[in-house]
This record gives sequence, structure tokens and C-alpha cells, in this order.
Amino acid sequence: MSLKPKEMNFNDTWRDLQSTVQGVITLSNVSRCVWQDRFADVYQLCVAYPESLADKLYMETKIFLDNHVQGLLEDLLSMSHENIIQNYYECWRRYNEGIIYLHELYSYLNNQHIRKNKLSEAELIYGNHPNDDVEPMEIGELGLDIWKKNMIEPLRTSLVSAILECINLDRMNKGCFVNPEIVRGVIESFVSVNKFKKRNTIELYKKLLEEPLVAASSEYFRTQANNWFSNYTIPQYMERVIKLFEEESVRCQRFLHSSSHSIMKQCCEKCMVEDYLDVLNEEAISIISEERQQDMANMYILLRSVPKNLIKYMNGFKDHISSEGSLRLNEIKGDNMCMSFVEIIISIYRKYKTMIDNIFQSDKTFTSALDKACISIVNGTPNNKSYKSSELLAKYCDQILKKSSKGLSECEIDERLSDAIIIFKYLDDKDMFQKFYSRMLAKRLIHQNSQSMDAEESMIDKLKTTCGYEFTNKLHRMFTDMKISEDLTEKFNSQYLAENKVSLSLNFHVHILQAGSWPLGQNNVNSFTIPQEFTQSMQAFEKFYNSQYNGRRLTWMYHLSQGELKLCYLSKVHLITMQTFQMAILLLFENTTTLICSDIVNTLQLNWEQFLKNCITLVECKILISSTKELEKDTVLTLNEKYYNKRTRLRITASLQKEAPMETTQTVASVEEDRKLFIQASIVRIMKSRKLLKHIALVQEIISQCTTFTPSVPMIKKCIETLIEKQYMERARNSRDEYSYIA
Amino acid sequence: VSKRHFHQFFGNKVANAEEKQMKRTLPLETKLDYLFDKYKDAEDEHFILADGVERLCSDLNLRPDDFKVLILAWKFNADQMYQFSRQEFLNGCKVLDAENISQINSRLSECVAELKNDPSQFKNLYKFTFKFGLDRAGGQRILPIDMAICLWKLVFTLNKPPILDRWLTFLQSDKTHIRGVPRDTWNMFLNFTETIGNDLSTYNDAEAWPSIFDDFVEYENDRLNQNVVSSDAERQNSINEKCKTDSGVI
Repeated sequence: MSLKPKEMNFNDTWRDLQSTVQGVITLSNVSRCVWQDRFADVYQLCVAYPESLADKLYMETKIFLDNHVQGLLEDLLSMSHENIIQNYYECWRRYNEGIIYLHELYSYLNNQHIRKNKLSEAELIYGNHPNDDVEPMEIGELGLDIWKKNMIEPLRTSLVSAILECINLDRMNKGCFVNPEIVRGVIESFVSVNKFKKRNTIELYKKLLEEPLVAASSEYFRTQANNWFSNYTIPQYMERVIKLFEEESVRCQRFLHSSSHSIMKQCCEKCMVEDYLDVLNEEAISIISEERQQDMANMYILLRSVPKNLIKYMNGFKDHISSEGSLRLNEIKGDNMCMSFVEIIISIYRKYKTMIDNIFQSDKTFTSALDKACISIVNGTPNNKSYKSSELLAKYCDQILKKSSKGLSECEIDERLSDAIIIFKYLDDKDMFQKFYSRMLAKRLIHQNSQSMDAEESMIDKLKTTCGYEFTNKLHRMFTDMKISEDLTEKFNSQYLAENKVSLSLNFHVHILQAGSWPLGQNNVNSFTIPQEFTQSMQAFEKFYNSQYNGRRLTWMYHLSQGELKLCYLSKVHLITMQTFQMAILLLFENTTTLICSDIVNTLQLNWEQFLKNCITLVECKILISSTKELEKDTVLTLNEKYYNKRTRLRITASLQKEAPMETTQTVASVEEDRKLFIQASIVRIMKSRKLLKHIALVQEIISQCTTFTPSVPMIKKCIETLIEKQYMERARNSRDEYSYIA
Repeated sequence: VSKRHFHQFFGNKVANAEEKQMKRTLPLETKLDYLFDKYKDAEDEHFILADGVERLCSDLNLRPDDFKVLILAWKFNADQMYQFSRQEFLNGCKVLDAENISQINSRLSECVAELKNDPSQFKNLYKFTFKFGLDRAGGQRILPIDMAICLWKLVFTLNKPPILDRWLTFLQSDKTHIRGVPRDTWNMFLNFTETIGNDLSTYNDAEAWPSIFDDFVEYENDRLNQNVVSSDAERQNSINEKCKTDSGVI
């Protein structure tokens, strides 16, 4: 066969071609060689000499297909109307397949003549193109277009109503007489006929089917909702709606084009949820307060569709948690308040966290509702603010970390500390917690009362991760001090004493605590005449320390130190750990068995309160015997030479290490003071860099800079006033709401 | 007492005769020096002190707590209450364009008229009043509350803001322990009265008001809600009494 263009007899060639086309379009048997000959014919017609017969071929083919589809329609109409879906589908399936082959047969015409003459995409978009009808189409598109005009158009009404009927039957669960595959095929044909188009391929589908379907479905949903509402309780209603949601979703998958899924879903939600919002909202409140979990989950699924409304539901949930929290917290009392405080909050937190995971599918908005509720539980309402939580939480940590706490394993301790951190994150007054915590930590360290150093450090690391380095800075330095002290004492005992050939009458261990890092306060240091027995050791150490660090001043904190005293005058030797002041008192009995209180006070230069505090313990544990019930200035104290305790080693310091209530108010006051200074400092910093700033902007920036506490606006205002008074800043001249920095 | 009466009775006539003569012959500086010398303190010739101020007031036919006395101090730019230095007196008279008592008197009346119509002048006077009330020799930076209350009543003689009485009641309330008024609060109060008028509901505590105004508005709202009127009215009366006695000293 030659590819050379030649003169062609159109009518003869078309006759042959036409019969093949007929065969292809009806999916009859067309042999390979015939196919190839006709394929060549198409080529030859297109390149025919002296002029191309392509246009003529195109026209003839169009007329042929027109007639063919016309004929198919007539056949269809003559068949039973009841089976229109099946018949149409069968027809369409064959035609559609045939058209694909025909498209192949005409590939030369498609590629060389039609596609070349087609407008480019750019021309299509930017206009200036002639009417669509005039535009020649590729054979495949032509075939589908003819189908659309000659088949779908005339049948549209009956087809669509048949489809709607099918879907409706499926809904009613009466079983569809037509195979869903076929219905879907028919529906798909509405999309497929436009598959060659570059734009708006689903427009026909939307207009033809989706619109009436949505209208019909809305009607159905409404009736159904109305029906259920009057016959069932709301929980039952919700169950039915959710089931319907699921079924509709499956139905969409089964029948419809994917673009319709979300539209059908919205339609469902509109008719079954949005129209009943008021009633549902009301029910939601009682569902939450009764914690009916299944209903809560169902309600969530229903309301999720309306984000605005989900917020209402979420707030109801939040309020429920807060009120449960404050109710249970109000009930706690007794000694172990800090324990129940933490346990209650943690149990609430866990309970609702699980609920969110299981019921609300870990929805983020609900998680944040839980957070907000916990914040209000922990901190109280703004009108009823207390610093109690910070203290309770710090005490809880103290209890866990202290020695003698009911034998918890490392693992358990860590778990409880993590619980504390959960609450800590919700705490507004983190600085207050820090103050309390550092005081208690100081006591644990100084009195060597810590359960485990590892646990202590892990807690501080946890705080650091939550709140940053600044927050734990001082706590860290306290640890470092302990470490350094260890080394120093070691060096002093092993090196210094040996080198200088000094031998001390008593062993001792020194903690060197940096004044700035420890919450101890210099004003607690009282006058005290050191017993002779101590002086040698102390002087030696001072000398040693000055040789190590020149120019540092040491202050001895007697009230914090303790020692072990060996009582040899008793029938059994006892080793008793006690406060330094107590030691000093007992040492006075070295050469006598009775002393008068006022003499002791004079000799030791102790103030009366200190003396009383320390001496009462000695009397209470019967080492000393008092002549009067209460200790007075003229009370005579006698050494109890018959003192006996089962244990050889004991400590009597515990009662002195308790936090007095005075210290709590002091702590609160000092934190308030720190806050004011912090706010003032940040105001000055902000104003210095901004020079001119609006009041509201300044307040917001201050709040954002306060990470460890939430400053109250009145406090900020007072700080601003103070700084205006001190002339760090002034009100801007022309604007009442602005401040400017005074350099 | 009789000597004083005599002075008051005849002194004016004598003074008038003197003044007439001075007007004709002497240079202004000298005339004013004369006038100053009339009131200067017996022990310190550079100052008119409390006693002299009292005499000056009575020659001007004014009570010491009259609004015009405040204007006089303002025009003289007096540094301290109860006293004028020679410099202040001389410059002040020049500013007033007055060279004798009757001229001062008429100029003061003109000032009152001007103040009524010129808010910026009033603002100036208002700011001056704070400085005037401070005992700066004693290192005061904050106006003691009693003084502040009296000065507020005085400075608003012409145009009393509707909120003033309630404000003063608030300052004296047992619940608020306000001891003094800083300059910023004093200055802002004028803005406050202008902004708020008589309607506290327009107050916005998110703006840059000193926190004491927040407290005041809250206090007022609480009070209105509780509807306790009688006890406050009583308190208001006692304040008025107190103020009369206090301001008599000026």
C-alpha cells in the first residue's frame, strides 16, 4: 500500500467505510485486515489528490451517526417504558464502547485535520473564538455530542425520574429492582458525554440529576426528621440520624459522582440537625451534665457539621468540668490537703482526657476546652483568686520528694511529679509556685531531707522544659552550691587540716550557700554566742575559706544548722541529731544539772522566741525537765539523767523545720513585690525601644512578657503611674491614650 | 484690734491719696515696690507671708479662700501658698497690668470673665493649682488628700463638673484609703471630667486612665446598685463642713 496521495473516488470508498463504521459502532465482528484497509482509506481520503476529502468524510460520518442514534432512540421508545434504565444503559454501554473504537479508526482524521484546526487552550480562554457548533470535533467527541442531543435530551425527564425512583426505593430499603451498577452507569453517562470538553464537564450532570435529587432528598429528610422527632426521644433520634448519615454516605458512593458527596451531606445536615438546633442544644446540656457517653458521642457527630454550634456544645462541656472541679475542691480539708488537691485535679483531667479521646475523637477544640476548664479549676475564677494552689502544689512536690514519704519507688515518684507538672502548666502564678518550691527545696537540701537527688533533679528538669532556663536558674544554683560544698568540706578535712597540722575537736560539714540564690533572708540571723566547743573548727574553716576565695564574706546561719550530740551521761549512750541552738543549750549542762532559763538566754545571747522554740522540743522529748508547765524566764531546767529511748540514734529536729503560716504571707508579699519590679522593668524596656506607645499596646506587650504569672491590669496601671511619677515616662502631649519615654 | 480697724477704715483713704500721687509722678517699678512694702513681712523684707497675704486679701475685699485669690496666685506665678516673693509680686503686677489695689481688683474680675470663655487658660490654672498646693519646701511630691479636696472645690468654682461631688465623696470614703493625689492623677482628672460629663457608663477602663478612676467608677456603680443614699448624703455634708474650716486657713 502506498502512502502517496492519489485521486480518490469518495462515494465508493465511503460505501465500504460506512459498512465498517456500522460494524464498529454496533460492536459486530470486524476482521483485522478490513480494519486496516479502512484505516488506510481514512488516510487516503484525508490526503486525497487534488484536494482533501476530509471535510466531506467528516460530514458524511456525522450524518451517519446522527441517523444511527436516531434509530437507537426509536428502538428504545418502542420498548417497555418500565425498563427504560436497563435498556438505556445497555444501549449506552455498547454505543460508548463503539465510539471509542470508531475514534481509533478515524485517528488520522482526528490528529491531522481536526486537532490541527482546533483552537488552542489559550484561544479558548481568552475568547475571540467562533461559536462552539461550528467547531469541528474529533470523532469520539462528535459521537458523544450526537448522543447527548439525540438521546439524552429527548429522554431526560423519564430517565431522571426513573433514577430518582431507584434511589428512593433504595432509601426505603425496599430493594432496588435495578442493579445499582446500572443506575450508576446511567448517571455516569451524563458525565461521560462531556469527557472531551475542557471545561464544565459535570455541568450537565449537575443540572440534569443533582438539582432534582437534592430537592427530592431534602423533602425526604425533612419528612423523616419530623417523623422521628415526634415519635422518638432525642437520643433515639440521634441514633437514627447517624445511621441515616452513614447510609446516605454509602448511597452517595454507590450511585453518585464524587462531586455530589459533600452537597448531599450538607443537605442531610441542614434538614436533620440545623433545623432542630434549639432542641438539640437544650438536650446537649442535660446529656453533658449526666455524662451519658454514647449520647455525648452522637451529639458530637451531629453538631460537628455546624462549627458555630459545636462551640456552644464545647462550652457546655467546659463549664461542666469546671463546676465538677470546683465542687470537689471545695470539699477537701484536713492535713493532707495538698495530696487531695493534686489527686482530684489529676483524676478530673484524666477522666475528661479519656472522654475526649473516645467520644470526641480527640477533637482539638475539646482539648482546649479541657485546658480552659482546668485553668479555671486550678486558679479559681478571676473574682475569687487565691494563691492557695501554688502553695498546695509546691507542698505536694515537697511531700513526694521528702524522705519518709510512704516508700514510693523511683518510678512512682516520677509519675507523681509528672502529674504535678500537668497542674503546673495550668497554674497562672508560676512565680508564686517557684517561691514556695524554692523555700521547700532549700529546706530539703539543708536538712538533708531529700528522698533522692535524682528525683529532685528530674523535677527541676521538668520545670525547665515547661518554663525555661530563667525559671529554674536559682534552683539549679542551689544544687551547684551543694555539690561545691561537698568538695570544699572534703578538701578542708583531708587537705587543709593535714597540711596545717590542725586537729579539730569535732568533725563538721559545711554548706556554702550563695546569698542571692537561696530564699533564706539575712534578717533571720540572730545574735548568738557560739559555744567554746565550736569556735576552733569554725575559725579554722573561715581561714581555709578565705585562702580559697579572697574577699568573700561568710555569715553563719546557726538557726539552720544541726549537729549530732553524744549523750554519755545516760545508762545507754544516745546519739541525738539536733539544732545548733539545742546543742548549745545542752552543752551548758556540762558541769551542772540545773539551770534557770533566763541564765541560759543571757549566756547564749539568744532571743527569747528562738530559745523557746528550741527548748520546748528538748523538754517535750524529756531530755530536760522543766519546773513549770510553760517555760518562763525563771523556770528551772534540770537534766534528765534517766532519759531513755529504745533507739540509740534519733533526731529531734523535725518540728522546727515546718513552714510557719507567717512565712506564707511573707512569701505572697515578696512575690507581689517582685512582680511590680518585673512589670516596671519591662515597661521601661518596652518604652525605651518604642519611644511612643499606645496604652493598650503597652498593656498587651507587658502581658505577653509575663510568662510566669498573669498580671492584673490594675497592677500594670499602678506601675505605669509609678513610672510617670518617677519621670521615666510621660503622657504624650497630643494624645491622651499614648505614653512617651523620657530619656 | 482697734488699731487694725483704724487701719482698715482710714488706711484706704490714705492709700488712695498716695496712689493717686504715685500714678502721676513715680516710675512703675517704684510704685510697685511701694505697694509690695505695704504688705511685706516684718522680719523678711523679700516676702509677703501669711499675715501680709491676709491683709492684701482684706484690702482686695476678698476672703482668703476666694477663687480670685487663687487667680491672683496663678497670675503672680506664686511658688508657695501663703506667700509672695518680691519678684513674683512685681512681675505679677506687670503681667496683670496693675499698679494698685483697685486695678488688681478689677483685673481679677476680668480674669474671671476670661477664664469662663477660655478652656486653655483654665487648664493652665488647673495645672498650676496642683503645684501651688504642694508644700515643696517640705519635699512634697504628692498632694495630701485634704488639700487636694479643698483645691478641687476651689479651682472648679466657676464651672463645677457634675461628677465632682461624687468624686470627692469617693475620696473620703472609708473603703478607699487614699492618702494623696499625684500630679498625673490631678491633671488627668480634668480630662476625666471633660470626657465623662455626668455619665459614668461612657467610661472605658481599657483606656489609659489612672487606676484610681477605675476604682471610682466601680465604687459608684456598686453604690448605685445598692442604692444607699442617705449615709452618703450625710458624709457629703460633713465634707462640706470640713472643707470650710480647712480652706479658711488659706
